[in-house]
Amino acid sequence: MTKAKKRALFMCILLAAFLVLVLLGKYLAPNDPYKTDLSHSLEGPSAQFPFGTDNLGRCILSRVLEGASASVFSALVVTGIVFAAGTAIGVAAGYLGGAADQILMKITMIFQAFPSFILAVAVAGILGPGLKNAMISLGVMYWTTYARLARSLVLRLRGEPYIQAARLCGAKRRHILWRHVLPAILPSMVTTGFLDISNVILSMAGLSFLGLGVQAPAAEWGLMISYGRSFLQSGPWCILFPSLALFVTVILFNLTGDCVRDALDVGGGM
Amino acid sequence: MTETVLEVKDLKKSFRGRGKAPERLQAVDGVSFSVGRGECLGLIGESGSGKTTTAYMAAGLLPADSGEVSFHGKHLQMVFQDPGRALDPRRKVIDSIGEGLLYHRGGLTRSQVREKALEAMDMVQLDRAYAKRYGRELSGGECQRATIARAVMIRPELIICDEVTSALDVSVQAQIVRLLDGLKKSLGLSYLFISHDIALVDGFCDRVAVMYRGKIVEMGETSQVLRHPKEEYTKILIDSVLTL
Repeated sequence: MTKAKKRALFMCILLAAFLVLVLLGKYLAPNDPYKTDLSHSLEGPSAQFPFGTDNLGRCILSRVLEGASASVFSALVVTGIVFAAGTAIGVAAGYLGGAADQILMKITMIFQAFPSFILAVAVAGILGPGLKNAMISLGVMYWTTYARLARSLVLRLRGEPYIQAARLCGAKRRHILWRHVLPAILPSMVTTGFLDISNVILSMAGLSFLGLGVQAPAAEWGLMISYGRSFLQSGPWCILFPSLALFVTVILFNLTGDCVRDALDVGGGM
Repeated sequence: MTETVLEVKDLKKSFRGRGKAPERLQAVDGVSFSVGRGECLGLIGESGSGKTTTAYMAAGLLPADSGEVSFHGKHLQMVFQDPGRALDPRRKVIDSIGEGLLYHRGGLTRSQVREKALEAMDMVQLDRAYAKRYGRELSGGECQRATIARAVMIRPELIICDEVTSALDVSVQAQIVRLLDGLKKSLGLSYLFISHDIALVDGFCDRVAVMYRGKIVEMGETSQVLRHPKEEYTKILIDSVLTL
């Protein structure tokens, strides 16, 4: 195993451990994340409330843990869906060529003509606030990257002699796609996906911050940051800890994405 | 004249021009020839004369604008110019070679296909130790042997060789041509041998066709065409080699 692969494996294990933590977050919360207690309003970090409390006396640590799944898993689901759909559309466009390619790529271009986050805000605004609608609007925003990338990779592959040779050997379209095309494009696609997860997490937080994502009183990091702005001076921990959680998550996904890219680049097809 | 394996009649193909030359480019302009069973037909000409386009159309990999390709046999294979790209870099050599038989295995199990692939490796004198390597780990000559092995797996009647030696160094070129010649005799193969190396064609091909600007300008017995060329262009082509 090469050094790059070891590092990627280590990062993936770290990421998996982090995801388990996110999944179990609810059960690890020391206090009820939704219980208001005005006698503890805006208290600094203490033994009972390690991350302090907000103006309603809710435990910030519990809310950060509670909100982790909304922030992280919704991003994972969105990235997974746009990855699959975008790749399928791009591969179809690149491999079929002709009219199918023209139509699919024109649709992609229409979506890309808008500034992406504005598009997401517009879609979320039309659909109305809520976690599900925020995820849909992020999907609308992100799928074009994968479609375009997959198409360009497939176009480059299509003329390769080994693909032509497979055709001469009697391989059908699906054989060529499964045996030769997908294995060749997946490393680049997966790397892009990994690096995109952190963008999706940030966009999700952004939508919530604007009031278009998860709604109060639900715990979600972007929403907590937005809410905490009002107490920046009296209780900076309200905004500090959700931001820190967001920061750590994004860094973790980005580093893993980088390591995965290095590992796949060097090895080629392993 | 022996039985014909491949017959090509009045083949035409044009491509859309790009950039500064927006008019259509007539890559192949009315090419006709035939390859007999057990025969090797050489197709020579400078770069851009339409040789590879003709080969792709003859193989059925590229639709022709007009004209007819009739192949009187069961299987046709092709060996490509760029050995580095002729094997899937992400697959094991044995799997790439086995692909030649994978889709037409007629009751053979996968392990029998692998066994046949190993036999094909022996046939092209490629060490069985390479079977587990990946396509990207082979040298140019080894890649070319592997692609020839893939081509003969299915026992084709005709193999189209598109500049198979031009990316190899001189000592390896001779080995590959000797290998092709041996296979021709042992398996009764026919070749459409595309090259711009006149010396190679001279030793290997029974007949030769000279292509220039999408047309065949001269065709006949190899020795006749190369020793006593009738067309001006053929003379220029031969002279350009001798002066090098």
